[in-house]
Amino acid sequence: MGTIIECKNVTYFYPLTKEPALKDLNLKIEQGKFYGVVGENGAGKTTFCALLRGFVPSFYKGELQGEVLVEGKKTTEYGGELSAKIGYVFQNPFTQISGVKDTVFEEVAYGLENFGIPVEEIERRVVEVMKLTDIEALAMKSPFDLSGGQMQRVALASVIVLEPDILIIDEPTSQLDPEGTESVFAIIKALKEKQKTIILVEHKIDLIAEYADEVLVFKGGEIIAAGDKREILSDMSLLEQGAALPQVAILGSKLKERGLPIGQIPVTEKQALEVIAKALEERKKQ
Amino acid sequence: MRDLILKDVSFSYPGGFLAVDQINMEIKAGDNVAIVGQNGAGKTTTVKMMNGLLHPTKGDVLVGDMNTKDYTTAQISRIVGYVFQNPDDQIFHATVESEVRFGPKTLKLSKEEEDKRVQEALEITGMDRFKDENPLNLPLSTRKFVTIAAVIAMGTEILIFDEPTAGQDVEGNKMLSGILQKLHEQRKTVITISHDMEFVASNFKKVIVMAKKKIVRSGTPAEIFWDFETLEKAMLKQPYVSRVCKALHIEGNIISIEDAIEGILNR
Amino acid sequence: MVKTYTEKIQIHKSNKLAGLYPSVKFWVVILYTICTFVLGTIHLTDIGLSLLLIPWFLVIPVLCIASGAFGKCFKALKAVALIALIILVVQSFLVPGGEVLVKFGFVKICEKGLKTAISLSFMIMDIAGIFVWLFQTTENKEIARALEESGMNYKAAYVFTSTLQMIDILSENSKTIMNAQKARGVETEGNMIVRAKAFFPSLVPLILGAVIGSEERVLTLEARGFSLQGEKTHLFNLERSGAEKAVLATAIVITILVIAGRIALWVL
Repeated sequence: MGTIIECKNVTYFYPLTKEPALKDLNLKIEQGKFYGVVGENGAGKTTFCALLRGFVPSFYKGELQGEVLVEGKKTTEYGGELSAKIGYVFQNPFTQISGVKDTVFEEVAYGLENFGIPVEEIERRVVEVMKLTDIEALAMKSPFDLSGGQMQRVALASVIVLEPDILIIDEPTSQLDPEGTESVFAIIKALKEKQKTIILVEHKIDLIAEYADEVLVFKGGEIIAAGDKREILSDMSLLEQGAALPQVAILGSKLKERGLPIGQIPVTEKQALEVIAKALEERKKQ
Repeated sequence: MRDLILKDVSFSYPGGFLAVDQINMEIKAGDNVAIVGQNGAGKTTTVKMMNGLLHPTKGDVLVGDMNTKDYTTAQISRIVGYVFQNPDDQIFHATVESEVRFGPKTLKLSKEEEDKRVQEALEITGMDRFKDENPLNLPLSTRKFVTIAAVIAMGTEILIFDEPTAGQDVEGNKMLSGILQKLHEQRKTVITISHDMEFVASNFKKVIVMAKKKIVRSGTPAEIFWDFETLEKAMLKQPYVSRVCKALHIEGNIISIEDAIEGILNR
Repeated sequence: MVKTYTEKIQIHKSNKLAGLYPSVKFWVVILYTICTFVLGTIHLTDIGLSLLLIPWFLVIPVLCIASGAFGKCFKALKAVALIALIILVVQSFLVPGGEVLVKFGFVKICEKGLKTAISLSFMIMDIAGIFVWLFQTTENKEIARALEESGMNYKAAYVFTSTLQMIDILSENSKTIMNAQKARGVETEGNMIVRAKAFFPSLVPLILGAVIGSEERVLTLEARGFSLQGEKTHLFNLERSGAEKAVLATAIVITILVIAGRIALWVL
């Protein structure tokens, strides 16, 4: 699969700051893969998202060194078309409601209206997306009359309806309850099945372990680890760097330390069950 | 030291929507309690009745011998502190220190006592290193600790936290555990609403489970997280380690990684 | 056949007045306001009171009833009437000048006071009243659409519409903030001094919250093509009720008559 976004020697300073918010970023985002972005607060995760979307530097200003290429073209050379290529969902569901539409249906349709899509096509695409995000039952409700989880699904729908190839989603579940979190992850999973490229910032590491392909670990504006999720999330040294690791990975690694013959350290519940059961079998044989 | 008692408490919002249906709760002075359950189960409504932000439409809420009906929230705030979910609903000072000092100032304490409380609250929450910063220059997750410090500085004997772990990273969760530990050592009563089962399992002695406007059960985390009927009713999940232990048929109502390791190795 | 959502969001009004095209309603408002000013200059009785403003107000309840929206308008009209009443009383007693008309102990109503009181308070009643009719019979999205159609910049139209929606949201937020401040010892109920003390702690977070939110909102709007140039689609379309021409003609005729009457009084 090809590279869809590339960062080359990127260092970025917010206006009036001396410490860079991002340092020496070099990485390639591959098309169709799901990247989990993790690390402590203030490590640069959100700035990284804004960078990929081109909000850094166009909106936040400041000083950008190096370049970010989306499909081979610099983000600084794109105009409004980047919004058709990259969808962006924020942490706070409330600020993502446009504030000018009375119903969820119109809210989701808002972007398509701006793009000048014909009415019949808008209707069809909005209905389809409302089904995907499970909000059709809310279609005629006011977008402000919803729970946080429902609002976040509306925010996702409003972006997905524009059919971007890339989705950047910044901590979509931090203000949601478990039910809301699950409904958001169900949508992300459906998007992954549609071969979208997904970049997700999320603290709920067990969910990253479950759904992501690759993991990027940030600390102090730098990427300190990147690669296949099973490899990264089983690296116990990351715990000292302020990164979270799945409970089952910590369990697996501690069992291994205590002499249980565990092969590869598990990162999901399912893997943990397989690996530990197998290790217990083996111990019995010895 | 006061106990907190809810007697046959129901609450309906104006317009008739019933949010809490005939619950009874007794929280002893010095307890640390987590309230868990889905959104809409009535958790926030319940804790809002504990400091008089809402008054029960039926039944009584007693803080020691005070019936909350007879006092304003501002009066109860000297005994019951409340940390809201969104820190931006309360921050309005230009420095962290003055924000934290605002509450104690309304109590008209001696200057020494006021300084002492502010300093202590800043230290417990780790905010002393930011004390001269403008809260708005701090990230949201840090602003949350500013509001926690502001409430701790009030010196109340009962503290309520609504979703403290939302948006926190590993370090933030550790800091929260530390704060809860210290409050417990000071024999404060702590009541916390949380969706994070791992956090609840490792930080609380008692768990109250709510579902559909009622209390389903209360007990120790080990009891609750291995009571599948209760979990199902409240649509809650076991912590990850418990789930692994359950699948491996390991006895002992395990809820921590340490116990899980022993359990698995000794099987 | 099942209705599409695009059909469901349209507004169909059976009442011909309520369903007027928003710009026609707006013209009615302007013409009515012009007439109000003109009628205000006609001074009756010995001391020159603008009494015609009083019967002129009757147009409003008639319009509201004919638009089938009297219930909705009544509450707002009551508030307007209260303000007008306060102005009437205050002005009557406070403005000195001219002959003393009535005297109770040390308070008195002077000629000039009564004159300004009547013209000011009924002028406010009339003009506020016609706006009540406009806003109670027209939905926000009709106004928004009409603004865009009138060629107003889309950014200005956005600000206008979102402000209308945000008023509700801000009042919700301010409740939450008041609660948060109560919980840390700020009294919000009681006399004026107590309330004044609660003002800052309640207002600052409200404004800051709105400002913090606005950065993300700008970016979200941007991400949804807010500033894209080119033709936009509109799912919602304004309808005409069919009475536009008749209503506009009537309004113009009445305005002409009022102005002609005014001129005639001058000439005679």
